[in-house]
Formats: sequence, C-alpha cells, structure tokens
Amino acid sequence: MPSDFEHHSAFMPLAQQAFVQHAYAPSEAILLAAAKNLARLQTSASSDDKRPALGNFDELLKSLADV
Amino acid sequence: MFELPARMTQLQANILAGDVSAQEALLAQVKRGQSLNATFPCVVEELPFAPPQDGPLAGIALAHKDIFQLKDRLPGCGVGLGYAQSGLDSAAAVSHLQQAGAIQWSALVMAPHACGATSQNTHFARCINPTDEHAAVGGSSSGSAVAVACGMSYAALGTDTAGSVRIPAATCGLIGLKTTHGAVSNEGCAPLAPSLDSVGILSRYAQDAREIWTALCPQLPRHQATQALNCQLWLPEKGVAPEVALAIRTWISQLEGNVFEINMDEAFDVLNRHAQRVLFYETAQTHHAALKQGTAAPSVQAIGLMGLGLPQSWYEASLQSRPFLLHDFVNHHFSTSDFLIMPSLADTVPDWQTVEIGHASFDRKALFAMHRYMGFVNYLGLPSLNLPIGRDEHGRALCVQVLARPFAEHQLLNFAEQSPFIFWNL
Repeated sequence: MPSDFEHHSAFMPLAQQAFVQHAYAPSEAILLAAAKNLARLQTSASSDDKRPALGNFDELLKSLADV
Repeated sequence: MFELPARMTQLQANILAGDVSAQEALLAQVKRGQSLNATFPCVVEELPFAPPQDGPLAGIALAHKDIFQLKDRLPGCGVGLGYAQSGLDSAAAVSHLQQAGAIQWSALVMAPHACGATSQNTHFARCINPTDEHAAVGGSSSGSAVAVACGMSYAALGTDTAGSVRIPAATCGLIGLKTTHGAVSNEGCAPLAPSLDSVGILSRYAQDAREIWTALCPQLPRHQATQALNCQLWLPEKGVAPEVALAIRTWISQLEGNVFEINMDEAFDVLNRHAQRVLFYETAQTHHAALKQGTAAPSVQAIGLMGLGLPQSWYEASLQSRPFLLHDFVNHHFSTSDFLIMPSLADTVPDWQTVEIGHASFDRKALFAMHRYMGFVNYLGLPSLNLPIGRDEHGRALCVQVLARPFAEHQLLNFAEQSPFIFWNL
C-alpha cells in the first residue's frame, strides 16, 4: 500500500501541469499542497456522460421546482 | 421618539396603521443602528439618507453586506471602504428592495472578498457576537449577522458561496436563508465562484425574512403552511458533536409530521468533492491576477492557489456531473419528503480565538466544523435555511440546516414559522 507521500506524489505532475496552464510557478510547498488537494478531491469515473443530457443547470432547477 | 418593535412585520403594521410615519421610523432605525455600532462595530460606511419610498417595505431601513454595488458606489468587499464611481446603478438584489420601499442606510463588514468561514479580517475591528462576546462570528457575511443579531437592522442581505449566509446565521442564532441559485440575480454583486454564489437573507424572525424574500422574488407564489410534513433527517455517522446530535434529536421529537432518518454519508462525500473543485477553480479565475501578483488576501490565496493547481478537466467534469447529481438528489430526497434536515455546524459555536488563523488557540478542526456541511448545497443550487433550535450549555445557538426543492423558499419559511424553539423566543 502506498504511503501518504507516495499517494500525494502521484498527483504532483497533474498539479504541476495545471499550474503551467495558468502560467503560475508554485513553490515546492504550494505544489505539494495542491497535489494533496487533488488526492483528496479525486472522484471515481462518472458514468453520467452515457446519460441523456439534462440541459442548462439553472433551467433544470426551474423544472424541478414544485410551483 | 417612537419605540421600535422587535419584529419588522410589526413595524410595517405600525406604519400602515399610522402609529408612526415612514420618515420617523427610518430615523429611529438609523439612530438605533448608529448607537449599536458603537458596541458592535460592523458598519463599513453609512450611506446618504434617502427619503422614504412607497411600497410594502416603506419606512424600513436596512443594512447589507458590503459586496453589493450601489448607486455611484463600488463595494469595499471587506478589504476597504467603498469607492465612488459615477454612473453605477444598485445591484439587482438591492434594487428589488428599493422598489419595495426599503432604504439601505449602511454597508456592513464581511470576510475579505467573501472568502472565509469566520469574521476574521485585519482591515476592520473584530466582529463581536451579540449573543456571547467570546463566541465566534461566522463569515463571510459576518457584519450582516452582527447587525441583525444586535438589533441594528431587522434583516440584512448576504451572499452564500459555501455557507457564507448560513454559517454567520448559525453562530448568531439567526434565520439564514441561502436562496436557490439564480432565483435572485447576482448582477452588481462581486463574485467569488459564480456557479455557487447565491444571495441570501439574515433575520431574527422567519416572518421578517419572508417579507424580504417576497420583495426579492415577487413572482414566486406564497404557499400556505401545511401541517403534516414529511421530513428526512441526516445525522452524519462521524463528525457531528454529540451535543449537536442530541439537540437535533430532541427538537425533531417535538416536530409535527413524519421524520425518516437516512444515511447519505457516501453521497455527501462525492457532492462535497465536486463542490470544492468548483469553488477552488472559480475562485482562482475570479482572483487570477491578484494570485499571480501575490497580492490576494490570505484567505483568497488559500483557496485560489489550490484552484490554480486543479486541472481544468476536473472542473469541467464536476460541472458536467452537476445536473445529473441535482436531478438524482431531488428525486431521492424530495419526491416523498418536503424537507431534508441536517446539522448546520458540525460542532457547537466555538470561541472566536479557536477559529482565528494565526492565534495561539487556533484549532483547524474547529474551523472545519463550521463549514463542513455547507458547500455541497451550493453545488446542488438548492435553497437552504439555517434555523436556530436551541442553546448549548454556554447559551450559544444550536441550529439545523433545512434543505428543500428548488424555489421552495416560502415553504422553508413556513416551516421555520411553525417550528418550536426559535432562538430569540427562548
């Protein structure tokens, strides 16, 4: 089983790439924090893309109202 | 001078009956507000006194979070005084209240750029909780909570991106209504994370909040209160303080209607992750320049830098899943139930030092407990009401959060009116 550090390290390239896209050069500490954050916010693959589209979010809110 | 009643609705009735003129009522409220501000400082700036307007809120003087653009004034957003700028109109929410006859006499302090679960702000004097001077005041609509709790304003507008109306309301024993996303236009309101931002209302009494809500969203019909309610109750298995859980169970036992206990720990965890992705990413977009220049406020940095390190594809995936998760959530929780009840704060209201970042007594877990159950509601876009239900052993407010279908704000306020143990009535 990977250690916490190894687990976070796995996300460092992804975080680094995101920072590059935003033209921001993070310090080591910020890069590590961002990698930890990604490890925390990871979700399992969604199957939602196989479902029929539900349209605009605000319109969906209106359609779900009971008024 | 006319003695102001406790409730705004009573003052409206007094004005309607001719017991007091709208002008006298306005003067009395502003004078009281100025006096209370000496003890509970939360006013950023007093605004030019406007003559009374016609409408259901004629004679009502309110104070709001300093995040709303006003006529010829840009908001200070918690980092300074407002800025004069000619040609500006009032934000849509403020404008709705003006059209209903209310005036705004002051702008109120807030966490810098609406980014913070507490009132911590080095730009202004520390907010003092009117219910207990040692207790924390939640954020980011901290001044709105103080102003309402001390009696400076019958109600106040705030904004809620991840709990910024409900958290301050919970710490000060107030009604705090986070409205359905998009129900009230955010036009003229400084953004934090636009997909999550919602205008909200803080008040002592549900009836007063209803008057404000009706002015903000007059097109929604008022619902008649129904007696037999079906509610779901979620008390997370881990993370809720025993005192909070016990208070909620005691209160629930006195509710009229059916209450079904559910477990949504797993669904909450997924929704919470999506909510944080959107919050981080959009905060980074909103404050991109300041983050890159290193001039962002510390609380904005803490959130925004994580947003800069978040892949765009993750953000887009969270937005793509949002309609499906909303659809499933509403069907699952509100097809046979009217409301979903859950804790507001995960723990009792802490001492202010405990959640002051940098203070020797700072406790990260205590701060986390203040916002833990908030952000996922913004991701779903649903309305949610903070409702005081009692007091803890120190006399501080204990609250629940009540969620409902989109645009069910009137039903939530009906529920609050019928519920036992409103904090201010104890």
